[in-house]
Amino acid sequence: MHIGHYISGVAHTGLIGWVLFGGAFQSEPPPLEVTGVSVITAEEYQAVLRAQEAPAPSTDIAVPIIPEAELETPDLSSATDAPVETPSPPSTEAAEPDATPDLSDLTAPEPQDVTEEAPVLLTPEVDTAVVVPDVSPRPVVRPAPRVAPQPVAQPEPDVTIDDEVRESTEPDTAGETQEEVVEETAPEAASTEIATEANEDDDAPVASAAPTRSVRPRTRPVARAEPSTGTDAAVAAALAEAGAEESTPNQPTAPSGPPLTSGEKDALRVSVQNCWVVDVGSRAADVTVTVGFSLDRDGRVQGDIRLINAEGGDEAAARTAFQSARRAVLRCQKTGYELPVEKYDHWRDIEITFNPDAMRRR
Amino acid sequence: MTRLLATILIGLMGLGMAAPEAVAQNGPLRIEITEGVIEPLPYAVPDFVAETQGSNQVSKDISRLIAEDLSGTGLFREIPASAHISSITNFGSPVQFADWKAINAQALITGGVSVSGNSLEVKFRVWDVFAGQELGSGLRFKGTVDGWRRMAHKVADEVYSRITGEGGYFDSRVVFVSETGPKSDRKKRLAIMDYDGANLQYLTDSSAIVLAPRFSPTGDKVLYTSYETGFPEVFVLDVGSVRRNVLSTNNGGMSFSPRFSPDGKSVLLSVESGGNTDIYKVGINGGQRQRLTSGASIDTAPSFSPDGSRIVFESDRSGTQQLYVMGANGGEATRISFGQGRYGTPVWSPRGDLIAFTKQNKGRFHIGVMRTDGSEERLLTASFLDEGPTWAPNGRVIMFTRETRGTDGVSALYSVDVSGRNLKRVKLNGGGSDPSWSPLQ
Repeated sequence: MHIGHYISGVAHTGLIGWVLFGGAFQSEPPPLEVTGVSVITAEEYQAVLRAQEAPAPSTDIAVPIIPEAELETPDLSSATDAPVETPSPPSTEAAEPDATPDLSDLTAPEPQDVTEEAPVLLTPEVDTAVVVPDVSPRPVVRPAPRVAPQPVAQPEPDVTIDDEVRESTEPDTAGETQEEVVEETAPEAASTEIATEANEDDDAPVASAAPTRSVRPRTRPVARAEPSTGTDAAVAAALAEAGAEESTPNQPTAPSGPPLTSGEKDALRVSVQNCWVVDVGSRAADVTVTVGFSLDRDGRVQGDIRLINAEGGDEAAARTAFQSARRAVLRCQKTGYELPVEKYDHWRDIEITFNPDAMRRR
Repeated sequence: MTRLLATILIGLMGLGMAAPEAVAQNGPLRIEITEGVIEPLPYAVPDFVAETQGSNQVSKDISRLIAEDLSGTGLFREIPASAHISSITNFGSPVQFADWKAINAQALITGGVSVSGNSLEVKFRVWDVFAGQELGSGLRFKGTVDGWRRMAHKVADEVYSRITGEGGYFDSRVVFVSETGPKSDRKKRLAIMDYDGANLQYLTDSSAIVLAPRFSPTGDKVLYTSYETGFPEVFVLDVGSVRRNVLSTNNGGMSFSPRFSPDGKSVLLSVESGGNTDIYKVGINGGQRQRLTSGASIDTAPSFSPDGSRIVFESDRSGTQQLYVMGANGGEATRISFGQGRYGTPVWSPRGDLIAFTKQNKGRFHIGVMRTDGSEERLLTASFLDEGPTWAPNGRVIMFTRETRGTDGVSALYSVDVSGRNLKRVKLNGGGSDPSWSPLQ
């Protein structure tokens, strides 16, 4: 380790000494850039200038002379190539032909007359008898893993009253209804003791009513053709079909998630009321109107704003009150009402009641 | 017991948590708004398009007068042309609603004017800017160039009606008593003018004192009281020809305070006889007078309801001057004013829902309104002397006389919105009193 220090010290000392004393005594003059200048006469200067002048355009351009080409006609004579020698395959003995098969046993099927009637799947007149075995190696029901002290009847589902009043529907008696065949399921089993799989005796025969083979379903009965009245029937059918198609997706679904807080509702109310201009001296100030509309996810009004209800005043006053309410909703939406997007299902459809009673009585 | 309380408590908690969910999750979001803003409705009326040569000036004049009418109501506020983003250069071009929304114009009025000789044609449309649709449909008026003011008033009336749902009052006139000279030697003449003070004309000279002119329901006749014979007498004046006739003889008494019935066929007036003043009904062409009130009291200032079934009047039968309502043929009267002070000069609103009156209380005069049963009394003005209310034809505005205090006091005409807002003085050269508003022409 000390040796390293010595070497480093000697080397550095030498380097410093060379820098101080080796280079200090070199006094070479800095190199000068020398440009050679020659004196020329006026004629020579003019000659130089003429040489730098741009060439004057001229149209006196000599046409290049096309040299006469000395064409030599190639020799197009052809000669047949010598045949390529191919190795001849080794000679093989000719195989004997296969024996002709004996077709005497085969006879062509006799042609049969084809009837115009389509084939009909024959319906068995009676159910196929099924031989039910007395016993089955499979268990019928699996014992419940829990103990129910007493059998309890299943509670009735909660009944909720919908806000929307829907008209009762009459059963369609015109056409036949095909009821779905619902397979009966085994009742919920309960036992008085806990039975695990380990306790099961697979070998014990269990009585079962399960069929051993599947029974083919009956063919669907042929629907009787309803007497149609041309266009009316077609229109009615189209309407019924359209109604059936539309009714399913438009079923009101209860919004999920938490509802709007009172603060969020207040914010919306303040937003609208700031644009609700009330003319307290007009007859429209006697009218309380309720308007309905829908918002998109950005909080902007979609479609028309509709009048749902108007109380007080005559028709003209109600119309004016509605226009005022509509202006309030449209004006203050600006770029969209600020409502929580995650609760969109709760504010997609809105009904606002504009009640000017308090303002009129001031 | 403890178990029972716990069961009840848990049940209540369950209800408290479940009920709002059930309410909030069914149906649309429902909100009730009971507070709005009271402010003028902003609108824009760019100058009507001059569709013919020579109609530039009149189109500008018409546009400006429409704006004056609308803004003068206090219900509308014009957005000045300097703030407009787009201009209307063709009456038939589609409206760029976005440009007018950007300046918050809720209503837009576009129009065109064409002049051919002395005939003038004005057409216009009213747009609900934020709804992006037209209010009503386009309308066209034809008239003479000289009558451009009336045409502008008619356009303004139509615009007002389409936006507010109520009739306008711009194309109407006012008959009043013009007053000139110092209070000690004041000259009074019957005069007629447009509702805004334009087109002033005098109907009588100043040789006799005239009082309380009243328009007929059709606006072609004026009833007034004159002292030209030394006694107050009621005259009927034809506005077109300025001819007049005495309606009644005084029969030894004084007749005054006349007012037409809604059908214009009869007149209510007060007759003073022997220190007793009662209300009578008389046909417009004279005939037998029908006495409607009796008793030792001063019954005066009668006014029919718009349907002609009832009459409101003032009477001091209770000891102080109050308002009463009775049937069109007299009979028992019902007192409707019960506030402090004295009530007088009642006038039934053309709408039929309100009665305007003058009230004097604690040395101040007020113009007020109340329901026809006396409820919801509201005082609209207060000053040294306010009196003589008259209704605009749409029942929205009240014009009245205001007189200033002192020997140099002058009478002037003022108007106020039935809501108590937009009190302003009618432009008039000189003084005026006793206004009576005509029906819409």
